[in-house]
Amino acid sequence: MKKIYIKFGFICLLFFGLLSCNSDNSETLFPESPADRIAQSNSELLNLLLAESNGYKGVYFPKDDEFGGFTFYMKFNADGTVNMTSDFDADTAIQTSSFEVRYGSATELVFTTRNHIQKVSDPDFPGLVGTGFKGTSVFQYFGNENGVITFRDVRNSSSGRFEFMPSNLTNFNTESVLKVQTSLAQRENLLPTPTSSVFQVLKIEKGNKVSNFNFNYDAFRLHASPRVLVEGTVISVQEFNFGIAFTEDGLIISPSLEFDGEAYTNFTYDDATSSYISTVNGTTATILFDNQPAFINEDVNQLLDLGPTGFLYRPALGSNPLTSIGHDAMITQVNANLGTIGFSFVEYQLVLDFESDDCDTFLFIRVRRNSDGATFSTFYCFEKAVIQDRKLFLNYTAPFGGNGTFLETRLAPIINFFNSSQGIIYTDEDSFSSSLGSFSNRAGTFTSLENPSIRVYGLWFG
Amino acid sequence: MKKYIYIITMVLAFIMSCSDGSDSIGESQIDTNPPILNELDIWLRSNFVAPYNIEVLYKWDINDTDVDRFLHPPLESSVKPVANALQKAWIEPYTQVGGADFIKKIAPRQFTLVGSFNYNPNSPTITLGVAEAGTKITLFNIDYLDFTDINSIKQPLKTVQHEYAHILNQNIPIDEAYGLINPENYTAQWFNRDDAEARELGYITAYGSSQESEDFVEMVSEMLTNSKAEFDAIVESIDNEESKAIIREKEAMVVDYYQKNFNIDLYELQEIVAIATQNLVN
Repeated sequence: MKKIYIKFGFICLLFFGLLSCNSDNSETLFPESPADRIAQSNSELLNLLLAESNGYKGVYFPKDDEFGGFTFYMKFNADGTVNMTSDFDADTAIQTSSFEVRYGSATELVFTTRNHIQKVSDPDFPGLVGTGFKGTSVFQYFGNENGVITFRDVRNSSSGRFEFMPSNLTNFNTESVLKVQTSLAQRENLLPTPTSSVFQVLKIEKGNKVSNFNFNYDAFRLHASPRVLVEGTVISVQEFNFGIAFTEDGLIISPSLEFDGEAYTNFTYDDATSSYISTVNGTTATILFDNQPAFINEDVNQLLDLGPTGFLYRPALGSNPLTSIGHDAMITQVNANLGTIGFSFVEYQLVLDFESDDCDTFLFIRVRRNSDGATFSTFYCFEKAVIQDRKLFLNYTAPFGGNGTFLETRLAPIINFFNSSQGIIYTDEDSFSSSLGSFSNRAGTFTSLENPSIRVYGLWFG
Repeated sequence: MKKYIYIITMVLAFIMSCSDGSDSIGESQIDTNPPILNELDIWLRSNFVAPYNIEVLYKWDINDTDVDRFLHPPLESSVKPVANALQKAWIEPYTQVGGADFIKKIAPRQFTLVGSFNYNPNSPTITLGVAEAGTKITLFNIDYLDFTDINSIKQPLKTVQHEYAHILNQNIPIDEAYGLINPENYTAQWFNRDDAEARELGYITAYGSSQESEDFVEMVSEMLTNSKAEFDAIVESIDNEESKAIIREKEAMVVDYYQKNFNIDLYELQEIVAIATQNLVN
């Protein structure tokens, strides 16, 4: 019996020994070892970067759902240094720093010491303290197609993108700086001037169909949130979002604007019309300053419920970008008018009434005598306020009181602003905020349709 | 005989299962090529790695800092002045007073230098430095130091003296009695106090009023970034006599800790550091 156990044990052991043999002839997915493949990927990128003797042009969108992008020119050198300039700001001088190609979570291009690229991740940037433009120094290599090298941000993998293309320069040091200075200057073309309308519109024309968007451009973040009315079973507002990077001859948006079956990315600046135009398959998208907003919302109806309250514009409360530079120019003109007799502008208030023509709708303007600081009040009467086609109409009648009469011609620009024959657009802006602080008071804007370069932002009180 | 047949058969079976080993070992798959070293790298290796086994990292690696913070590497030109300050006002004084091997035996093995400020989210504070497990110190905002201003130079040195005192405490803990001197005003909201307010409560700095261990190392770092005269002036400026006495009591315990545990005269170290720091001013 014992021998049977021994033989049985031996047979088991024999099978164990034989089955432990392995041919190891598994399928080979990659001919090289992982380490070799990493080294190959790294050297592929490094060789690409070093191949361009006059470097690359790169457009970097750090996070296109919040910010726009910036243009860089970079020349990579075999000693591990990189020369760089950018259109991030007016400091465009070429700087030299270090870079490395290394393997992290993928093959990465790492800008290892500070240069222009780190301006995008500078947490000390005024207005964006703590985050800057949420950029990075580490870029994952995503591929090289048609001469365009694509990188992605480790942190903002879906909204951050850096694309390199050969610079095609003949002299990197001189030409790259001129290029970024040109693209930086291009930013100004998207900003209003004292005489341009405040209604910045994106107009898409496809055949006979025209779609107008209120552009909603944030020049500080280089980001736009265009809104368009979409007709369906009910009319609704559709909002898009994209970042903007400026080029020498126009701008690029990211992500592309996809509307009505077309995708718009590259816009060219047209000096003659002061607009940016993108043409795709016979359709055009144009960013321009128009005389009317793309659409007018129903905010003006809120004025009916205000009761005996006044709208106040007082420069001493601080500035807000919604007050247009056209309005600033108007106040400068008023101050010039008053200055000839030793006075200056202090503030104005607008009180609205929708029932009475007995000067219950009036403009109250306060001025200061420069010699002693004494202030004086002037009143200007309007007929009752009327709302029509989502616009406010005010019809000026006459000054009230001696001060009003005496200063009427000098204060005429303000009176004319509200006496717009084509009406006034009102927008509700929630609570008041300015460069000097915030108040819980409701805020709003008035824009003249007769002169759409003038818009004022102020608060309601009383 | 049968037994031998079994054994031979078994041995053969196991031998047959072995491969010939012809392809098992090849060249190392690890990239052992030396990195590109610039002049600064060579200087850092000569002055920190070779003599003290301390690595000074300044080239960006996202994993060296908190990936959720928006930070950037320093300018290359910022690195050497800071490293030089560490050498002159931290390593050399400790070496002079504590012995040639003091820093070699007890020191962080790695410094990471970051160019930008490190803003703390949802808090009105910035982090000047971080010490991790007694082995690594990260210094922030080195691009913004002004080497013509001694107070600016003192900022990273204070961070290092602070963090190094933590490392010393991790080797030899402080006397528990230290935390019992005036525990009543320790608070996590220390940043709502300024230094002057904290001193009137018996803490040398606002951060020192956060907890006992920070209190101790803040005492050390204040003593080692001010000359004795400057430190005495700070203490004498306190109006509350009781608080003044408390800080003097803490000072005595700190001095005693260094003397008993490391045979270091803290006042001597203070004087050497003060002279070295003054010499760093451009």
